[in-house]
Amino acid sequence: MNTLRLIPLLLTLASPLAALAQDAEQGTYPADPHDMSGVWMNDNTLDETLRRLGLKRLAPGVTLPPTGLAPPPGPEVLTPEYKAIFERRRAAQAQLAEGVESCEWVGMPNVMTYPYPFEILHTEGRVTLIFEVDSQVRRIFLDRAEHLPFDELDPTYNGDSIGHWEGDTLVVDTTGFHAHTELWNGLPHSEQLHIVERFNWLDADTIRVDFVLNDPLALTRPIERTVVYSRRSDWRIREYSCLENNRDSPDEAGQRVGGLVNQVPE
Amino acid sequence: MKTLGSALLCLVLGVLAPLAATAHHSFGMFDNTREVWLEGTISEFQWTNPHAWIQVMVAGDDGNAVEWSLEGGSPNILSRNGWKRTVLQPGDKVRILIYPLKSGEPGGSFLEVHKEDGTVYFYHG
Repeated sequence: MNTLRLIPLLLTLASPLAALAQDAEQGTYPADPHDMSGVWMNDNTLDETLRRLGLKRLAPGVTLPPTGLAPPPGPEVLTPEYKAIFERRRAAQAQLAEGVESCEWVGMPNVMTYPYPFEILHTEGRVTLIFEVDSQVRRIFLDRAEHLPFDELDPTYNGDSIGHWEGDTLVVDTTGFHAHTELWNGLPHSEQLHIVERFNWLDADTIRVDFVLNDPLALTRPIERTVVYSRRSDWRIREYSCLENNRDSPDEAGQRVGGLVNQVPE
Repeated sequence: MKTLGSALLCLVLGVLAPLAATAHHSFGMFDNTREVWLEGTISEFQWTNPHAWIQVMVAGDDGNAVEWSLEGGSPNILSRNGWKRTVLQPGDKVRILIYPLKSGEPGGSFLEVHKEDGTVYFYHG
């Protein structure tokens, strides 16, 4: 990973665009722009940022440099009906102890921004993303121009994805979600959620993905977000199950179950 | 082939973005305004997902050992910060810097682990 390349992006307060443009001039373009194979990591997670800055923890009151990327919006983008759902869920959450975690799969779009890496594989007619979080998989079908018909489009965590190349940009269109999951910032959504992602090269070792989320029932306007990922040639995707040793699962009273779980059953 | 310049022109760079949240769950149950050093003996190192746990015996005020449960990152995060599943063994004497549980129970979130041989392991970076 090219750490030096990323520092200007993070530290330049006045003109992040200028910093990125300057950086790109020093970068290289991929030999085969239709091949994004490799392990990729969101550059702006807490751990990645701390490591880049040489910090060992985020002490209270310490403000990290801006990323130059716009944050996703909050509940102001929700329709009144979904704003009410958001408030109800927030009130229910407040009844639980801090830090409890049920280990539900995160689903789209959070699987793309979870602070763990993913691997991209190219095979005939297909791009496959293998995520470290919960060992999730997204299959993007390049050999199918249409989504599954309604009676086969089962609502799922990660949806039905079809893709195509526009020049050197991989465009991915995903629909077919159930409403168990949340958007960024905990926003609720309906089964009509529709996500378009555009995977673009910044240089041979950096891609950015522009997301556009639409939901005619839940959102009053599209949610747009850009995330930058860099290649991690020396990383391997590890197994990860949230259920393996979850000492933070909630008990019936909503408290952390605690204990010393990791015991092999008799 | 599209040039990088034209790709960059499309970039929308805006206001400050918050960092992606900590993985798995909130660490809000820990008091990050208090850094506390523990000195004790490892009883168990759970190198497990979603989070690693360090069980450590620490002498209490009355001299009796109390078992503390210290939560950290997942093995995937920790391994990229130099940890391996074998770095802590039962019986190892350690000094550990933690953010303690707000509840006052013997637990916390570990930040740094210092072993007797001088090696140090950090949760982050």
